[in-house]
Amino acid sequence: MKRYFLPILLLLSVLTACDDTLSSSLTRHTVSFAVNLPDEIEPESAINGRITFRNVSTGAETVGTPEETVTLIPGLYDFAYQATALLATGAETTLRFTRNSVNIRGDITLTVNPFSYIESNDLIIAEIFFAGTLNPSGISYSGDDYIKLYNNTDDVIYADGLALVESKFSTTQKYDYTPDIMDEAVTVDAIYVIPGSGCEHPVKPGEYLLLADTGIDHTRLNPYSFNLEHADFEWYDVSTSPAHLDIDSPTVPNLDKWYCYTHSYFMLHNRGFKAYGLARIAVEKDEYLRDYKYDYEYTVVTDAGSFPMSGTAYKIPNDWVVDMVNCSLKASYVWVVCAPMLDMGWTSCGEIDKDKDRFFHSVRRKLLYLNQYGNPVFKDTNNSTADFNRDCVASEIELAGSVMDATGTCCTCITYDGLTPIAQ
Amino acid sequence: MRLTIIILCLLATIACINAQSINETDTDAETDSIIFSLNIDLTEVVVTAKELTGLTSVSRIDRDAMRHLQPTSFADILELLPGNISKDPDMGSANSISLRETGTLNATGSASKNDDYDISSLGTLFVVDGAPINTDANMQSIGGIATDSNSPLYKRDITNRGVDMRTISTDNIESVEIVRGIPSSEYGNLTSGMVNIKRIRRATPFTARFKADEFSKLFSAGKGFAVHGGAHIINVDAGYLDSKVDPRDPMENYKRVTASVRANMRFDTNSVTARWNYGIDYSGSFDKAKVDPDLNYNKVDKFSNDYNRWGFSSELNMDLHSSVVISDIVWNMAASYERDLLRHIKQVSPARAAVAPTSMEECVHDGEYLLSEYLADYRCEGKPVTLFGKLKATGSAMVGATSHSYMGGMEWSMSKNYGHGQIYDLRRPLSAGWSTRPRDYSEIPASHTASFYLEDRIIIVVAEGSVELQPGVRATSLLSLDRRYAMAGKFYLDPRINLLWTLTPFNVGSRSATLTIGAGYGMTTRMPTADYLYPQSEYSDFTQLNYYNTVNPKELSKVSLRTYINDAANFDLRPARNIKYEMRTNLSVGTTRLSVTWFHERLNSGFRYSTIYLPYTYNKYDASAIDGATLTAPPDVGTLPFAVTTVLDGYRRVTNGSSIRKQGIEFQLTTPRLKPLATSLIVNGAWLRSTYSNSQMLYKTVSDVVGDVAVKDRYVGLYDSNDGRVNSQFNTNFMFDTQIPRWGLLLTTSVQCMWRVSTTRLRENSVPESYLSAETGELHPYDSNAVQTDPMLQYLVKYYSDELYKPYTVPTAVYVNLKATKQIGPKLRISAFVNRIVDYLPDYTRNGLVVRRSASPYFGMEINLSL
Repeated sequence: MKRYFLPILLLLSVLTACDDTLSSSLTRHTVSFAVNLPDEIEPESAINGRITFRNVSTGAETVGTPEETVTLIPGLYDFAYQATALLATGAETTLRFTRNSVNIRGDITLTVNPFSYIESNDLIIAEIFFAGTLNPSGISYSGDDYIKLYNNTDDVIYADGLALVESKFSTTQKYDYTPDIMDEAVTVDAIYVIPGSGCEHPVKPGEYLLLADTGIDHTRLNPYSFNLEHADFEWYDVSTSPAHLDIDSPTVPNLDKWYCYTHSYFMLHNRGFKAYGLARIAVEKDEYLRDYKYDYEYTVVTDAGSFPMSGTAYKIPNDWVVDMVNCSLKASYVWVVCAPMLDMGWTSCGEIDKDKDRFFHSVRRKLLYLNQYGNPVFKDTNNSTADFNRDCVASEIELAGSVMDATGTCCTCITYDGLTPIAQ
Repeated sequence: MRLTIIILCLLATIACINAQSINETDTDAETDSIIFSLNIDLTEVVVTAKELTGLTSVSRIDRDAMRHLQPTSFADILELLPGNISKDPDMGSANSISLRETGTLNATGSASKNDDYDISSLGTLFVVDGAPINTDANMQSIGGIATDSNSPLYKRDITNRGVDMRTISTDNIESVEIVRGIPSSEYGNLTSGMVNIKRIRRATPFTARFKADEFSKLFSAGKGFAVHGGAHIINVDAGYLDSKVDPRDPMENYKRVTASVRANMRFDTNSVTARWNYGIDYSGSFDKAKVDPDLNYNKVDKFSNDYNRWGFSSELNMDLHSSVVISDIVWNMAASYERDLLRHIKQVSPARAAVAPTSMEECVHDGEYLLSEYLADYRCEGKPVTLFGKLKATGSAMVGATSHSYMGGMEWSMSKNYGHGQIYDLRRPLSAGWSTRPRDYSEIPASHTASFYLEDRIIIVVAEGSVELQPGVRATSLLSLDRRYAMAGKFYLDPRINLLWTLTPFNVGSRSATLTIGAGYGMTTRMPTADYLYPQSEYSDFTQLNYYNTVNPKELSKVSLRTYINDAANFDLRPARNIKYEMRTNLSVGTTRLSVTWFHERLNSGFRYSTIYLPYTYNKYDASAIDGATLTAPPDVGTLPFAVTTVLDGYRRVTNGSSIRKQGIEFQLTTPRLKPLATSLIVNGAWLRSTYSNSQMLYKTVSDVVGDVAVKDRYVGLYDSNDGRVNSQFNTNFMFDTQIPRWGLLLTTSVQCMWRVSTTRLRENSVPESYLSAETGELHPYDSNAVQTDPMLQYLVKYYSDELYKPYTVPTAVYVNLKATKQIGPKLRISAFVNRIVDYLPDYTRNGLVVRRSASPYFGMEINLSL
């Protein structure tokens, strides 16, 4: 019997050896393009066309021209098109188009509907501080999130009626939501509107407007936080559950809550999985809430079955949108949740999900130059990847000189955009 | 790496074999017949569970089988029951038992814990040396809060779940009988089945065992002394287990300490032979879980759950030589005392305006803002005391051609918790969403259970075969129960009958064969535990005013809360009752044995916490007029404008709302040992089908919001619907049992095949039978007229996708487990095992997705000394 042990043992070790079941067949698919130029552009005037496919999983880029075809291995791709064109006026314009998470599963012809770049004449989002701070013990504190708006123009802008919105869909999870309205509208789950009759809240050129979650002195609750009593507005939610109460600061006026998905309180997505935007809603509140509801359906496919799901949110037509900023994460990004004409890219704090480095940090718009009045002019090309600096110390922490990391170090430097210091 | 260790373990075992073979002059010249001849000192042993051929289906596991299995706790030996396959020890959770069922599964066929079906384990009686383990007064928990299913507290909560098998060491067990069928009327207060543990009570040499595996290290030692010329025996043993939930994580561990001293005395006189067994035991069980401060932002998060039990048990057995009617009297007594302490210390950082409700009474009161970080210190102190007494008399008589063995007796048991229960500062709760309150367990009344039973065993000899009939009845009642309970003063009768027909022996070829056919019917009853009888009150807190003063938040803020208290006790509660049927057959031809059992069990009154809805009224104050800058004291709610609001809200209440149906076929085949290979084959397995559902109507809320009003605040539907699943599984274990006594070698290869596991959700009813209205506080029938009274009611019709009801089947999984035991000389024995050294887990496709499966081996070694 004993003489069989060694062979049996060898046999067993072979049986438990590596099991290589992963076989990849690298079939390539051909992609061709159908470019529909805007009406004002003559077809022959569009030159230097360039297309880019970026593989969402691997990051590998494939470039080409729209006149030729490209071949790609199957997968999800972010597609971008860029060209220059001469307008009838003689001015040169940039044509752009993007589509996120194009699923290449076979040979296809991609329809490209480029648009020419439009300059903003309203307030823009200068900073989003969604991550919050940490308590001295290291536990996260979240009441101090805020969004900062900025007047990037040369004119006074009245903030009255401007709506702060949060996207319903997350940039880290994609389903085929039907009907697909992304070409016409942004789907939102929170709408907070700046009150006023139309000329109560002027924002001068080069001025900021601070919209805070809770406009109180947060250092009373968390010594590592900062004071937000000077916020211009706060979003406040009434809740009856003692476990989830919001604080209504008596010194900071509340935004007018039109709609919010939650029964407790609204806060910015703490890991930054959503898009935030500004919109001028062109109809009255009642009419809006009645007519702009969006019921959608999608299917969750698991191995237990394909489950039809449905949801309800509100839609903001793209024409009403003033600015959109998509936030996401390098490790989790799947798609941009608005039409490319509103935002073509995304920005982030932290690299991976639940990144501890994100606390105390915000996304801040890039400084282009200082104008003749010394006011910063920020970059706004409707591409958050290019327009924002990631992982910046939050501007309110800089201004307050408060704690900027988990070890309790105080901030000593004030910057325009998280990078360029303001000369004292 | 792992594979290397496994191979090393096996090589070590084989090396020893070789060493010994050489020593014992084993030369090539020896013939096979000599090699495989039996050694005089070492005989063959049974390494699996024996299916007994008695009146009901019982698996018996003896010391030898346990020794070869190398278990860490009692939970490991359940692998030997039909329908079970090997599982890794899970020392980070309470291990509760389930017999003859698949257990609750999730939508993809994996095991998932569901408190609604706790009766499965609660209804399995554990008896150690004649005394039951009574866990009814154990309430070590966090109290009324459904914590997250991954939290250390939730996983180790044993309240209402019976015995935690982690705490039972196997090292002093002589034999275990697991009664899967209809137990004798002698045993009660159970629904599912019973585990009868008999511990070692004989003179033994000093034995020591050291086991090490992936998760744990175990040490135990014991000795049995013969005193007074062998008339009396004293057994002493102790054991220690140190185990980690994950070997890479030193922060979470489980320790067990056991010690026992038992005496077995025998007195003979002319008229009576008395045997008195008594003993004292200690078992300690210590759970610790700590969050690594370097990995997590919670700097302090420590959990510990200590359990210390001291027990005394005694059994006096008097064999009356001269008596006519009664031949034997058995008197059992047992007492136990536990000191349990659950502690959770956690640093809490409340986000913004978290409020701690502090009122212990139903009233309007001011809540307190949790404005800064604090250290929450939660203690739960339990001191359950149990007492047990039992008197049994047996006798026998011949009436004509029938022989009768009759038995009667009575039993009483008591349990009471003298601990101070949940102790913590309400202003420093473990989490901001705290809604429960402290509770002193010593205020809960004691539970007394009394039972009486009668049973007769009739044997009629027919030809050369026989017919055995065992009718019995057991009556159980809860004593000293408040009159308001429907159970007060009532006796619940359990009729039970088992039949066994042994046919005239016949011959198959040259071998003699016997065939028996059996059938049984029985009712079993489990009384509710202390927690079910006297559940913790449920608190509903509503915020009437939430005013935060920015100038002086500590002094001038005000939160007004309205608190309601709901009594979670259900005076209509009944015991859980199970009806069991089974049919069995045993065929033995020579040494080949086959047994097949069909069973069907129906339990419709299992305990669960159901959510009940009620309307609650409170004032909603308007704080907008308060001028924070001029305040000198918190605002007076009496001066503020308010609106009276009524909403529906739910609380948990104990009900008999769970139903478990169990059906299945169990089988076991044992073949004779094949001489040239020294191997016998044991095949066992089962087909099981278990249906878990509710047995009463369910309240369900909808999440729709109409305008500003949440539908669930105003209306809640009562649905005649099923919230459960029907699960089935089919498995077969092939165990090749190779025994070469001459080499002192025992090698078993177990091929465990789980052919399929399937689960299907039961059909839900989307339309409510009736609805509860916040306005009236009453139930109204839900019909077309109802929807006309308020269009909001149409939202109560729920939607269930047909996809939910698709069956999900997990295809075949095959694992190979190896176990080897080697005797080296008379004093040393070493053993090693590897579970899942080979596995076959093919990928499968469900709904277009490929599901990949993997398994990792579990292995260990042990050394046994007997001096």
